[in-house]
This record gives sequence, C-alpha cells and structure tokens, in this order.
Amino acid sequence: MEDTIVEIDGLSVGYQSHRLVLHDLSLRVKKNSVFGFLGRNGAGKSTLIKTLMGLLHPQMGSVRLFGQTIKDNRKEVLSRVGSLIDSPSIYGYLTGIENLRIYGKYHRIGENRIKEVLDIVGLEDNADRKAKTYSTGMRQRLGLGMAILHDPEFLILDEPTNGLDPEGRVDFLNTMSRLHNEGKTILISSHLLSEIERIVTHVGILNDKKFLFHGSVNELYQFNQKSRMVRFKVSNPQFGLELLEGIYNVSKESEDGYISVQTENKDDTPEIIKTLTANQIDIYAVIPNKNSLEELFIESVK
Amino acid sequence: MRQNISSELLKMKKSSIRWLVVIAGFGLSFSVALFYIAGPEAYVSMGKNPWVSYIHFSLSLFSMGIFPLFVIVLTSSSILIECQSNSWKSLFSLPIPKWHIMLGKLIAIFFMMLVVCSLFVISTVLIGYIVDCVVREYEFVYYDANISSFLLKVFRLFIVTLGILGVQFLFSVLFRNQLYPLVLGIILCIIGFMMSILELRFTDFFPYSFPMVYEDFGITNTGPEPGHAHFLGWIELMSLICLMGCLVLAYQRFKRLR
Repeated sequence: MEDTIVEIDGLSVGYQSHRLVLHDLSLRVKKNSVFGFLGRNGAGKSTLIKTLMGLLHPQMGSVRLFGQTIKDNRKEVLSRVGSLIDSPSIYGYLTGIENLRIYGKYHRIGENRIKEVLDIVGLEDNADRKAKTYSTGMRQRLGLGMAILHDPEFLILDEPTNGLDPEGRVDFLNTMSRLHNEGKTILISSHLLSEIERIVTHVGILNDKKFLFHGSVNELYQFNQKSRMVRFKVSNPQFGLELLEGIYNVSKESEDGYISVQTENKDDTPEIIKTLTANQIDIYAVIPNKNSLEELFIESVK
Repeated sequence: MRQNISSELLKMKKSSIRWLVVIAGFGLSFSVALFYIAGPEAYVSMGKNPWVSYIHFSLSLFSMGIFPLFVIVLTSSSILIECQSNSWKSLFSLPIPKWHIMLGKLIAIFFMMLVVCSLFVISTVLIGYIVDCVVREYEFVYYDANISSFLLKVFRLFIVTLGILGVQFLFSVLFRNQLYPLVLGIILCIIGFMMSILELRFTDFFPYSFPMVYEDFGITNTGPEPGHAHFLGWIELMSLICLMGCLVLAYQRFKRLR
C-alpha cells in the first residue's frame, strides 16, 4: 500500500527555459494528510499544481503520483485524482446536475453517485438551477462536486476559497474536513493562510521558486519559535518596563496592564518572572504569544 | 469514446447550437416556401416536374450559403463552449487521452452536420407538399420527388463541406478568441464564392469553393467538370484530404492546449 501520494524530486518548471517559475523543488505528501500549500500571489502555486496534473511539463526533475508518472500511466493516475484548478470549469448554460452529468459521462458515473455528490456539496436543492445563476460559493461547491465525482483518493484544490464570503469559506472548509475524515488526501493551495490553518496537517511555504519550508504544522511552529513574544499581566507595568528595558527587547506598545517582551530562548521567561517579583511587581498572567500560521508565513518569507 | 461523444452531444444539445441546428435545418425551407407561395407565377411551369426546380433552388441556397456558414459557426461554437467555461484544464485533467477529447468533439460536430442535412431534406420535401396545398398549380403531389437523388446530393454536400470543417477546426484551436475563426471563415466563404463564379484556376483546391462547385448551380458558364458529377469525385477527395491534413495540424496544436 502506498504511503506517499506525491513525490516531487528536483523539479524545475518554467514557461521559457530561461525563466523558471519553480527551481529544484522537492516534496512528499503523505497519504491521508491535508497539505496546505502556501505562497504569495505569483509564487508558482498554480504552476506546481498544473505540473502535478500533467498540464505543464517539467524542464527538469520528476513528479510521481501514487508512485507513477502521469506521462506513463495517465489513465490510472488521473482516475485516482480529483482537481479544482483556479476557478471551477462550469458550463453556465447547464444546470448544476447537468454539469455533473457531463463529467459523470467522462468517468462513467451513474445517476446515484451524482445525487450523492450533490448532497455532499450541499447543492441538492439547487441542482436544477442554471449554473450561471449560482453564487460564487455555489460555483465553488459545484466545482468541488466535479472533482470528487469519481471518488478520488487524492484531491488537488487550487485556492478553492477565493471569492467566498466568510460563511461560504466555513462551509467549504467543513466539507474539506469531512472529506479528510473519510480518508482522502488533500493538497490545498492558498494565500489566505488563516483560512486553511484549521484543516491542514502539513504545510509547504513556497517562496522564490522553491519551498522555504515543508513539514507538519507543529514543525513549522518549532521552525519559527527561536524568538517568541511573551506577554506579562503585571501590577505596575510602567516600572516593569523600566526594569526590563536594556536587558530584553521590550515592546513600547504594550497594552494597559501588560508588558510584551521578545524572548530569545526558553530560559528568558523564568528570568523575567524572577526580576519582576524581586522588585515587588505582582504577576497575574504570563501569556506566550503563539503565532498564527499567517504570522509564521509572513515571518518565513521576509 | 462513446461516453465522450455522448458528453459532447449533451453540451451542444443544451447550448445555443440546438437553435442553430433548427434554424439551419428548417429556416431555408420555410423561406423558400414563402417565395413559392408569394409568387407562384415565377415558379410554376406546366408539364414539368416541379420537384426538380424546387429542390435545385433549395439545394443551391443551402449549399452556397446556409450549410458552409452553419459549419463555420458550429465549429467555433463547439470550441467556444470550452473557452467560455474555462474548462480545457478540467478536460485535460480527466483520465482520458487528449485525442479522445478532440475526436469526441469532431464526431459530435459530424453528428450535428448530419442532423442539419436530414432536417433540410425532411423540411424541403414536407414543405413541397404544404406549398402544394396552398397553391394547387404546382402539382407537387402528382410528381415523384426523387428523394434518393436528393439524399445523394445532400450527402455529397456533407462530404465536400468536411474540408471547411477541417480548416475551421484548425483555426478554432489556433486562436483563443473565437471571433477570428468566425470572421476568417466568412471571408474565406466569400472568396470561395467569388472564385467559383470567376472560375479561377485554383477553385478545385480551395475548400471554401467546394460546396459551390460540386453541383452545377448555374453560377458558372461551364458548370462543373465532368468528374464532379460522380460520387466521390475530385472535389470530395480533395475535401477529405483537406480534412485529414487540417486535423493532423489541429491535433499538434490541441496537444499543447492547457
């Protein structure tokens, strides 16, 4: 049984040989993980996804899905993959169910599965409406329906939450979570990191043609925990600030009742507590500021 | 492959192409019926089989105008459906070879062309009888419509128009904006018409002239070459060669579509 779904080794892709978008990139995506694939606009996320799907050909390196290349085993590989690349490919003059029927015919899928998918993506009540009348959220959900129609093991979703309102995003991500719980491996790209933070198990940060980081979410936190902001709720913040200034990097923009200190290692926090208590400053709370994925990402690409 | 064709047909059937098929198949016959009803004195010739001139008149308009234009618009529309829906990338991500997708589209186009030809034959014959009910002097009911000969002519038209289909398909995959193949096709049709009227030397090699010269529609002084009158003559052969050549080139381009 394959444990690794995606194996990318030394991949270089460019639209012209002298203008590479991705350079010497390597990646593994494990089975049953949700790989959040992050990068600024233009970082090469869509290029990587198109290469994964065999829509672009690498200049160098190799891409394997399920241990096979698309070039050699197109039918077998692509029948196990579902994708939603850029905006969903929807025939606006057809109804939602007809759109699924079109792709159902390509995959030899019966009417029962089409109805099941409509239910999964929550479009059963709007199945007979023309797709051009759908809202952006409904279009994304229909696109997702097309991607999961043939019950693929691996889903590739390129910025699927783009253009969705907050409620639509939550709905969409809930569906993603459900699919993950059903055993699907998901690769999801985004530049809105705070959104995918709650569903991803692994993260890859793409910057300057290659991965700056890839690993589990915990590894990313550790990767960026060399320095961490710690907040202390104290009885006399002004005096505390004066005491710590010069020894630590203290934020001048500390809130009322709080002192924020940039710690450099794990021993700094107890040292600060000792210093404050030795000077009769009461400490009510010590709050380590766990960076959001968004902050880590911005830190990483700086 | 059957699934691909069925999928392509579903896309076409539900799009504006269905109205195009209805208009191309029935529209001309209704227009001719109006001519025949409005001015019988121009068309009634006593003692002659009225079907001969009626079918000749309908077929000449269909061959030289309606059908080539229909093929041009149909080809562009079938590609435009994918461009408008931004669906090439989804189609090329399916576990089927690209040539299956292209062939599926072509077979669906062939099918629509056959439907239009069939509708044209059926509507022409039916309307002949309807015209006779309105203007008794025509005497359509007393003569043989010679449908087998009519069918053969329409089938030859189908074959000679395949050259145009090939060129238009190539244009459609070459250009992202489907307005270009449409405009080019119409201009080339006009050139083809002019070439056949002027009986220029290369008319027999220019696919857009083929529907104008495969039969003698009375637009030239000499009529078609003797070989033209036969099924699978020079024009039909050239049309098929043109179709094959263009499809080979189109596939090279199709493979690079993203």
